[in-house]
Amino acid sequence: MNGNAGKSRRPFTFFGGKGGTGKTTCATAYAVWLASIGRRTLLVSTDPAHSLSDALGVPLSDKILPVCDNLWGIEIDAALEAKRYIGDIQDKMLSIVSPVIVDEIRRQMEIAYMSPGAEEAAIFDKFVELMEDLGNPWDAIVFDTAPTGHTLRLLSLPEILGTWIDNLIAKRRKSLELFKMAGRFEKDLMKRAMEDPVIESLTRRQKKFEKSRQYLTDSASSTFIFVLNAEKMPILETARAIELLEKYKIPVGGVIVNRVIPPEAGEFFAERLIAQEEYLRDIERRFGSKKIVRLPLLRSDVQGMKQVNVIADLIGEIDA
Amino acid sequence: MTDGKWDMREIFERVKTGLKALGEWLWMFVIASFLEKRTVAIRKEAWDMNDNFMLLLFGDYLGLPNPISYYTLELLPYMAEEMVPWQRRIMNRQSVAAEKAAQYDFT
Repeated sequence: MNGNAGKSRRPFTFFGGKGGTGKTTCATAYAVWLASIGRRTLLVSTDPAHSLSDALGVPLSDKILPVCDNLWGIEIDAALEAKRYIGDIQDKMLSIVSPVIVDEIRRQMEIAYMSPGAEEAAIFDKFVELMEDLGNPWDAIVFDTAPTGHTLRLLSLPEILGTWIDNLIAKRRKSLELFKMAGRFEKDLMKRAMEDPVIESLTRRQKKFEKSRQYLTDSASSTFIFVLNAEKMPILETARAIELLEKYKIPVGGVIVNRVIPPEAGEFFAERLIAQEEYLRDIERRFGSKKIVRLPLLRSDVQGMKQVNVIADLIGEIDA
Repeated sequence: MTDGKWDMREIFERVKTGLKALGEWLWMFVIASFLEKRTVAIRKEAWDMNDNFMLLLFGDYLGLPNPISYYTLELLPYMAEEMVPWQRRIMNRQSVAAEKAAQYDFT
């Protein structure tokens, strides 16, 4: 333990990478390491397969539960979050409009629930909610994200949607302006233009997106760590993903090369070792500007607290 | 003398009502031929823009993909009343050009 708490004051760390490279294990080990140097850490997973519970050997749920000293865990259930969100809207609707109309547009609500991106948006909302809740009582959050494609879509949301919402607000303003002009001789129309909950609601959303963009793009508050193996496809995918994240100005802090075959592995691995050398050089070449940490292939897979502790200190190097 | 005074007052009253009626008539004339016509055009434009706004919010119900349909859903409670007539309107559009032309007075 190097007790290097000063360097890792950053509150948000995201772990990403191609499926099967060991994201969850690395995220768990990192969170355990943070907890061991005295930071109150929350470990967040979005994996519907609940692999975080398996990695920790501790059952988790969609509520925040304590894992051990300084460590809490939560498994976000995207479908459940989306259902909750839509349920809230339905309740609000019933208090504003007549049940007849609610019944007529129930179909619309179902379409929105099924629409592509609904689950990503639900996860994103939950992320932001957790981020806003920082310091209560945890002061660091480690996100174990879904495989690369989904994650990138998720993190680019505020950038894309922000623009969309800006345009919507401008359009609505213009339309209200016209209603005001037309409503000079008509009370109903005037009333409609003066009190508009739509702009209010859109502005609230816009502010939320802005805030999350701030969180994500500030290297003092968040960083992204990629987990990959010394193999061709994970390297290519990571390179593409890093390029995209940098386009959205999301800081990438480092890469973890997981399951590096140690030289003493024996004859069976001889050929793979040679290929691995080449890939490791490639990784140095491509990601040399970032922190690179190598994790050796272990004798058994990493499962449960005891084994996570073994690699926790190695992962901690990423902050050194 | 008193009669003359009384007469004066009556004439004054009559002229006053006459002027008032004329003023009212003129004002109606102005509203009907200029202001009202203008507001009708503006009102039409306002509702058209409102329809377009609805399309941006809820276009996916008509089959147009919308990247933020999940978030526009929270506006549905405020727009719900307009939803059904809007859908009927937008699905029944015959000619956009004719709609636009109807805004202008060609006669």
